[in-house]
Amino acid sequence: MQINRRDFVRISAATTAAAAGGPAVAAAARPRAIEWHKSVCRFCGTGCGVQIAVDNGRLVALRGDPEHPTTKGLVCAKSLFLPKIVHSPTRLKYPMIRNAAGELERATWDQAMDLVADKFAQAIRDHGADSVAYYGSGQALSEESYYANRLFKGGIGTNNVEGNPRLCMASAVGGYVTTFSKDEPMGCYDDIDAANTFFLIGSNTAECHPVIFDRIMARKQSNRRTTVICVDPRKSPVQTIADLYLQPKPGYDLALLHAMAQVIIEEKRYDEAFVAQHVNFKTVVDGKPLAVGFDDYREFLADWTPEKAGAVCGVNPESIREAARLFASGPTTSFWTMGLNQRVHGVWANNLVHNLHLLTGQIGKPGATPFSLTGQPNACGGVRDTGSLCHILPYGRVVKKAEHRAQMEAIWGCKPGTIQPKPGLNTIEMFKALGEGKIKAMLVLTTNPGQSLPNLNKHRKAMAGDSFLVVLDAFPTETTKIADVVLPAAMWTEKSGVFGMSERRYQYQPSVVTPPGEARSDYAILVDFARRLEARGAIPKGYATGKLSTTDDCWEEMMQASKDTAYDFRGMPRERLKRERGVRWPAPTVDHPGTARRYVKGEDPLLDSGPYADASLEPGDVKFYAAADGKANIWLRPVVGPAEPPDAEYPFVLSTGRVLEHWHTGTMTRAAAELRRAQPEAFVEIHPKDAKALGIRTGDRVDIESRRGRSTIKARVVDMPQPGMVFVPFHWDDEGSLINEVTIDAYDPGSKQPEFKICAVRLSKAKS
Amino acid sequence: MVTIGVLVRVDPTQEPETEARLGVLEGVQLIPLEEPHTLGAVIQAEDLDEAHERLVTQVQTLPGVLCAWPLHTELASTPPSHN
Ligand code: SF4
Repeated sequence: MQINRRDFVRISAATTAAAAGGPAVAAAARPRAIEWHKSVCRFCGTGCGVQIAVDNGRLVALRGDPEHPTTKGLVCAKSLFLPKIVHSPTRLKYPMIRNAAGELERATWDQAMDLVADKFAQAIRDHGADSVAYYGSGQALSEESYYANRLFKGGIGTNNVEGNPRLCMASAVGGYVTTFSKDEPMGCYDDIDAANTFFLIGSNTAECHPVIFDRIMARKQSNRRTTVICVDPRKSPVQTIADLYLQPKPGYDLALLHAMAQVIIEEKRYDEAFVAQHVNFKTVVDGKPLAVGFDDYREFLADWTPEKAGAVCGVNPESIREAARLFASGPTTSFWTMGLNQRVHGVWANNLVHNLHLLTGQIGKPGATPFSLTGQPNACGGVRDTGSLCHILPYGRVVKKAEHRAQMEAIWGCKPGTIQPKPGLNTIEMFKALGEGKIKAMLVLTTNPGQSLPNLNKHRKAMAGDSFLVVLDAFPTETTKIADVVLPAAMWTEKSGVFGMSERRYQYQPSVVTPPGEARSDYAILVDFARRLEARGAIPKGYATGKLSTTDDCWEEMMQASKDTAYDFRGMPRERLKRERGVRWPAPTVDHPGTARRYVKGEDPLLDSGPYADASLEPGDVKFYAAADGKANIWLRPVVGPAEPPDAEYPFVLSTGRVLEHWHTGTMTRAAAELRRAQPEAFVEIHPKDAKALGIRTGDRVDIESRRGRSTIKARVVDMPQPGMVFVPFHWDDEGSLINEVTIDAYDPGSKQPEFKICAVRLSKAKS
Repeated sequence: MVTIGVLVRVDPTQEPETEARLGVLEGVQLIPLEEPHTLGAVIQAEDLDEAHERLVTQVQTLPGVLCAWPLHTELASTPPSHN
């Protein structure tokens, strides 16, 4: 007899119970003892729905939530270890202050928080609001990021508010905003089930978003017409299912994308009616956008035939033609991540993918969408949407617009003129200012810049310098090692709030166990910090005291802040989110089911009422309503290579990334012995040809040296990176393996996102 | 004792052979699922380390297995206290 996933999960649970205590236990005792709670995975932006079991105050089991509408019970191996990670003995448990001898010493919460508030208040008093800064995370709850943003921009009056999404998805934001006039994807995971062509570019979906990869694979299994195009300078497991694999030279895929557009136009595979109705063409002259026409675009692309582009990017012209044809035939869903975003021309690369969708009309219908995936569980909902970066404000507002500042000042209850019109310092500039002593005090929340920033030697020196650094985290990290004060934070199941994943779905996670030792939620710490600042006169009286004491209170204000914006989620009160498996915004009313596809009449409620409503549209019509004329932009972008191409002195390209078993700086996944054993140490992938020329074999230690620093890491000789390229995951922090000491901090002038994916290095076999 | 319930996605062109290969693995119990080209597998092991090892080295690498996803994991004993 065949059963469904839900029954299978039940059967496997019963098997455990039987194994633990025999059938009688399975039937009686265990079901009574264990409580199951609906939650969301703590790791990536796929946002898998999970159920967690609590027994005697401890997490004892985790399963994929079979009722979850998009991930349908699947989870990847990393999440299996979350219960162990939460209960890891290495968790931080007590506040600590660095003493005169330079050692972290246990302190009370009052001692630590008074010191933090004193240092910030003093900096603000003596050097002004811009002498302090906040560096947050796509792993914090939405309420935590919103509250920190509110405190710094609306309370203290500085826009020095940044977060690690600057390192991973700022270029995707720049791409969506410059093309569609608003951030965030318009499609959703359902599109996978209707796509015939998948265009996976700069994304190791198999290892970094495994459950999405599975859904692509399921589509391929069930529909023989499905084709997968994979574009990546390094072979990854994605390539195993690719029908067409294009391996461009690192940093030159802009030429490839233009050539695909050239073929689409040349062979008349574009959607003329869609282009005429929905698209503007733009270029940049003297730093200013200039409107041009379709003929200008065609003329511009004439320079980018597959032959010419092939010579630049190293891809066979016939493969480019084939990719263009498959793309145009559709329905086509594109996915990309860091391979496009972590580049000095990341915004342009994003624009060029959007160009292909707009040109072919592969957008706004089932299976057709350009979709940037996110690496963190709450970079979208938590940081992008709440406007917790230096240039933006909640729900699509920007600091530069007086009207937007006034709206947020009214919502936050601060004096008009408090929010500054000038963007604050972006991440790289902020850490530079910390090193120069211009930033006197910085709060780092649930992220590890001491390992994750590029050109790390420089920025670690800044963090370890004279300025005051306070770090909230659940685990010891490379950043807590150099902090002046370390505050132990609750994690995941120990606090309640909302995560917003890649497809605009906001999901609630409950607090079901207590944090270890004296750890507190980041939200509680921020509220305490704000009230102590208020007591010291560093923020206006009444701004924090008695307001937004809990994440529930904060959520109420956030919902109201989304009114009349493209993000409207006023239909997501807490009670609804507790009941349902997340809701995709916009969802302006409680009876609205959430929006699968934005900008489509009949699906997107904002086209029916509110500031974007348009009664002239028919169901299925598309309107990019965030733009004044309702149109999206096709951009004529020049083809420019990386900031630091290889040369005679540094002849290899270094690219960094992730492996399946670990996550980001590894502070959580390395706390699970099983994952540590599965991938115990850093490695550098070297192509066999290069390894032979250098006399390097698998297991040899290799010096990887750039103009900024050196790492010494074990070699893995494998045909994954192309010749001339090496790849190193950034999860480890053992001696010599901090690969970001080698990477470059040159950044995209538009998105300010650094180019982690490409820098020039030289290799040699290490002496010992 | 630890149990992992795993969804195994199999290559449609090698379905019977793959099922047979999975069926002989020690400590792995197969359960047919309604979804096409998938099988349920329950892996039992002494601890999570062993279960994970089996998933990665025995199930995922078997010819005909496209991928294997854990749907459920349960530790029969409570994890150690962090306090
Ligand atoms: S795919 Fe991402 S969200 Fe889903 S279980 Fe794995 S790490 Fe968690």
